[in-house]
Amino acid sequence: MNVLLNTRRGVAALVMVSLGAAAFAPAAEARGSFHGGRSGGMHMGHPGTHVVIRPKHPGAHPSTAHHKPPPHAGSHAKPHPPAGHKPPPPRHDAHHRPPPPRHHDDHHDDHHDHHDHHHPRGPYWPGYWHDNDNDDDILWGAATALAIGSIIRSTPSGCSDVQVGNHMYKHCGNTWLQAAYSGHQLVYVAVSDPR
Amino acid sequence: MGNKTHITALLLAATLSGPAFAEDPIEPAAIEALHAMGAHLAGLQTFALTSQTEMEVVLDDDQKLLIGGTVQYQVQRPDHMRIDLKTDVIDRQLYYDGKTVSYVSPTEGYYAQIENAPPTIKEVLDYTADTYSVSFPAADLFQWGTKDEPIDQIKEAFKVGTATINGAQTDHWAFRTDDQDWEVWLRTDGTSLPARISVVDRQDDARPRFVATYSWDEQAKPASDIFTYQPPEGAKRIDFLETELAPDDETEPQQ
Repeated sequence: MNVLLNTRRGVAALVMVSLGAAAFAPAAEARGSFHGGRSGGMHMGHPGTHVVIRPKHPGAHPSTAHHKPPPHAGSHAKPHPPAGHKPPPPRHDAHHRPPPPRHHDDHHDDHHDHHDHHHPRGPYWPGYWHDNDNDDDILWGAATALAIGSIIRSTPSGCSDVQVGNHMYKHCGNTWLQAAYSGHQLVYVAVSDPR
Repeated sequence: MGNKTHITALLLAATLSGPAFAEDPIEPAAIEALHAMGAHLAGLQTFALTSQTEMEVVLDDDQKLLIGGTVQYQVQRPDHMRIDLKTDVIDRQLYYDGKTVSYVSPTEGYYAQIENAPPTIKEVLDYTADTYSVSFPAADLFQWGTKDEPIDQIKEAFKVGTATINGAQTDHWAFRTDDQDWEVWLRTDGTSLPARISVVDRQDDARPRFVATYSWDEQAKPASDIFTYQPPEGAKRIDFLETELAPDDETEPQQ
């Protein structure tokens, strides 16, 4: 899946699709809910590896979650596995490169500001929880096509499965989606027309 | 009169000092208990483990929810393992036959594979966690008794008491590191197997806790074909997103 592996800095590919400002109803915020929901580590001795389920910010201010940033890998950093275990190097195909994620205004600290709303970044580790909000439905109602590289958690109804080469795609209106795992979470990535 | 006051003061001081801080904040017996656990765990060659798990999930307003799950391991060291993970949210399997790792969503009919898999179970678990954020409860059991066991992180350690867990007599030990509070309930039947562990995340103001209660089967003889995934008709192979967590200053792409 070129579009995924192209992004060597994997986090860039994990920026959840940012909703159009007007499209996102405040209901989910009002429910209090899960944006910023988080869980701790489940392994003794590896507090730094737990995934903070929080809006992704470029480090300008603390997120709505009261989570201190995990310490960087220190004396307990695990050795990297031998290079042979890596997946094959990505093919650099500019056509499939996801667009850079949208940059948000760091100074907008009000998390009720729609403009500043982020989806939580996956993975929803370790699969104990996920966002049940219908963000994606709202999204689908508002958008005619997703930007290439956008990641969503559910597909709209009416998609058709299309096999192109070795990959199965979901074709939804003007958008092509490819399933992938983000941690334990099954997500769909918008890709360019593979035909 | 004066003597009595003196004695009372001594008693008070003794009470306040508490068992954990009497002398060394780390009771040597607690470290020995972990070493005994590690020695037994590292010596297990073929076994099955079922763990009930409970994870606290913290909402924005610090309300905590308790989400349950079950994880089953079937293990044949050094390079065969099968994991079945079911939580309230997902259903996943991991197959490792020494050559290939298959990660499977049986309900959705998707799977991903890692060819040229790392050579040992522990390295597979480290690799999937580090590279793809695919991490399993109880995976840390494979680090005990190895050079990666986190004993040197321990700042405080003491014995809480005893407890009976699913009929097994255990000693209850408590540990504190810079970031976490651990509790470990170790069986007193000579195996030192953990019957339960608890991890509290002290980096988070809400102090979320994770608890796993273990059932061990040291006599298990897993069939040889359970370690290799055979995709059923219609199963679709997909890829992992690379989910390596970058340091904060690198979370924005440089493109």
